[in-house]
Amino acid sequence: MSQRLGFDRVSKVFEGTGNDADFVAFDDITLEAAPSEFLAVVGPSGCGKSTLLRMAAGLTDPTRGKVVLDGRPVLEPPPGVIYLFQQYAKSLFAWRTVIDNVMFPVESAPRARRGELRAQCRDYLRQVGLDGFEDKYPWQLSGGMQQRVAIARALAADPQVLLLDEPFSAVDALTRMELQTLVLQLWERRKFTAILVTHDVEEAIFLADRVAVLSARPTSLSEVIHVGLPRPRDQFATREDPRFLKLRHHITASLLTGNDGHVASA
Amino acid sequence: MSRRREPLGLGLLGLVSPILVLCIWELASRLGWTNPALLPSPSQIIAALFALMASGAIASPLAHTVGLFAVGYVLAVLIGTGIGIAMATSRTLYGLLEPLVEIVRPIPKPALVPVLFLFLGIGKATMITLVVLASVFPVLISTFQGVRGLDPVLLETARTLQVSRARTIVSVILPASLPMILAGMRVALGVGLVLVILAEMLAGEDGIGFRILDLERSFQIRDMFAWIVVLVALGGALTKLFDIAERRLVPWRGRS
Amino acid sequence: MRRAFVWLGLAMLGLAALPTAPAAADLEKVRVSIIPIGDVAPLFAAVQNGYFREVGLEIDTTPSAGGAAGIPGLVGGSFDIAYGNVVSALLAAQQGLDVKVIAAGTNVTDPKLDATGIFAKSDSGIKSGKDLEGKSIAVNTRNNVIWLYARAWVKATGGDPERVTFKEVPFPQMEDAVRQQRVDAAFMVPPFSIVAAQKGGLGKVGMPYSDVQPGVDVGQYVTTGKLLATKPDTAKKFVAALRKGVEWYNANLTNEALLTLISGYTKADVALLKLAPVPTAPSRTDISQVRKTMELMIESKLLPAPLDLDKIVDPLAR
Repeated sequence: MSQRLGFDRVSKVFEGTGNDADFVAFDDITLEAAPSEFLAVVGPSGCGKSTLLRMAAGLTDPTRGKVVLDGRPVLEPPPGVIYLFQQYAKSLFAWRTVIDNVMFPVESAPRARRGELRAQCRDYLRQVGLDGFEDKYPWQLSGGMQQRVAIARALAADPQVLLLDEPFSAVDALTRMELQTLVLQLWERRKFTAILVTHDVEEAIFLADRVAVLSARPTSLSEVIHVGLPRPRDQFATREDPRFLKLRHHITASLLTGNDGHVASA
Repeated sequence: MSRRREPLGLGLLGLVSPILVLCIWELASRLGWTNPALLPSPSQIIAALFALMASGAIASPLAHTVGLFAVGYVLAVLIGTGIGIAMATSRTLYGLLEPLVEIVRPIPKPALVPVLFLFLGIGKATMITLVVLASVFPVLISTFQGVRGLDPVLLETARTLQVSRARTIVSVILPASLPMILAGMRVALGVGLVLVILAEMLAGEDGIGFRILDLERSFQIRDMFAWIVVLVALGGALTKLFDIAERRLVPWRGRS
Repeated sequence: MRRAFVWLGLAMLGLAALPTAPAAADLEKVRVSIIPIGDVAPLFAAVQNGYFREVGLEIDTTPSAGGAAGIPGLVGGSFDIAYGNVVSALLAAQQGLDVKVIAAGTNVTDPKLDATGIFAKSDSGIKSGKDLEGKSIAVNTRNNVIWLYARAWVKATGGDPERVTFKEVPFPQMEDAVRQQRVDAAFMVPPFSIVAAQKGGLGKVGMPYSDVQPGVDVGQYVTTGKLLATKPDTAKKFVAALRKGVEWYNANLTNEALLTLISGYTKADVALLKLAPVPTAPSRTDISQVRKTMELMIESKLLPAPLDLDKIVDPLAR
């Protein structure tokens, strides 16, 4: 089961305090992720892409325009839309074991189903490669493993839309590749809609069906590029494919030059 | 996960200065530098302490004080945590309660004794109220700050996972703020003990505070000091128990 | 001759230039711990009438809740003399504190003139010690003469003192404590007992001193043996001036001046004080009565064995 999530002419303005001018995070962005689509959003640092994702999650409201989920406007966190935080360590519950963390979204279910749900959560842990770590605490795991727990927990919450906020930026390159492969596998299996926000252009191309490129401030949508590479993606074959390299060149150049021709500052 | 054991020498180092002080004190007493009527020597106090323990007279007052303290402390923790969380999670409640808290908190609680006597009489109600009034504020303040200081990511996680407000408070906010709450409870432990002794002196019929006052009234200074030693030991034991409980309740402390 | 006049003139100028402030620097300061009750009226009378100043003493008073509270201060050096009670003085001596009785304070010789008593609310139904079992009596401090005789009275009137609770309430607050039901009864002393009796609502249910030991020597002024040894003249002068105060006091029992004096340091209502007689004050401590109190203390297990009273009660007091 998956849903269509779209941004309809969305703008976000943070009001300036005192003498500071209002800060326009982005202006008039229209973008849509089709059901079961994997959409990536790339942009320079500080361009507000995380804010865009937070609006999709219902954690903040747009100043103008609206976020639409399956035809209905998003006003507060909708069920089925799951957010994977960049600071995964802070989103896990340090006082609970790994299995209890994963169980958290389904704990309010009736007692009778508990056993079945627990078995299901164990399975999610197995799917993310954490078999045997059920009774460990988050602080006993490495960064990559913690992110896997967050992913397992997201699975337990039965996502129709999964929002990933630079989820792999804080782990090393090899772990990143493993986690990317994992996410793709789960996405292929579960077919949820996925929206990934990242500054890593290669990651965006590797994972997504389409890549939306945001410009530097004042942020707007520069272009949306159709990736078109064959699935299932492979960390070696896909990354060495000439089309991958062309896409990388194009998108990176687009980011570096901005949409008005000169090199944008960092 | 085993803890690294401290080298034995380091642990014993902590005993050096108290023993040194006791030796100097004993020497001063024997040389006549101190007034034995006001300050007995450590050996005299220890003798009185052993006599006290041997006679069994230690039981009733100790039980009375611990009982009274327990009731007041538990009440203070419940009230302090409750109000702290309420004020931290609800703007309305904060606005309503904050002036009240800020007015009562700075008042030295002993100053409220005559008022309490008037409304609650000279007895258990006043004593428990005194302990509660003194202990509630450290718990309240640290609970409030703990909840306020929670990482927003934690609360947003709960929101996106469709957790109800009640369940968020019980399953997320409370455990996450536990380290801070416990810090406040630790302070309240010390404050509460002081107040329970004071309360017993002013309004009690039994207990360590009552006994200390009674012995002072009949000038039995050695026995009085023996009870003070009991009191110090009680405070130490409670703190130790607290440490053990804390380690079990917040094993993740300082280890993210 | 002229030179002599010049020198005389200069000398007179010099004398005139000397500070004529009432020789404050010449008075010896004596710090006295007192209880703000009628017992110490002779002391304040002596101060007011200048008897202490005449002998070169300046009295500096500090109130306390009772002898049990004042004596530690005495022994600790905060006071030179303390007004206390016979029980506290004996307990102090028992514990080896260097305490000596140097002057009489108050006693109860005639039951008809005993203004002290156990007061309870008139509608409380309390008439005896038995009625007070399970209830509370206010005493200024525990382990003193008030407490001891209250217990003895409870026992004498059919009650078990162990089943009565004794709460510490300062004398000036006792009346309110009974009226407001914070305690069921209170052992009160003048002037507060006189005032309470005059206002309605409270009744005297017993007189522990008169009922248990008529003639009891209740309160005395105590000092340290050290002061007696190092400043014997100060002690003698104090006692002499105090005795003059006692004489004046006894001669002016109904005099408005005395009642105003008492009202001044106790805050008791003068108008009400006028309506009943204030008790007389003794000049000497009756050692035989002290002995009887000591025996009562031994009987009540407050003292393990008799003390040598001759060592404790200084000749100055007798």
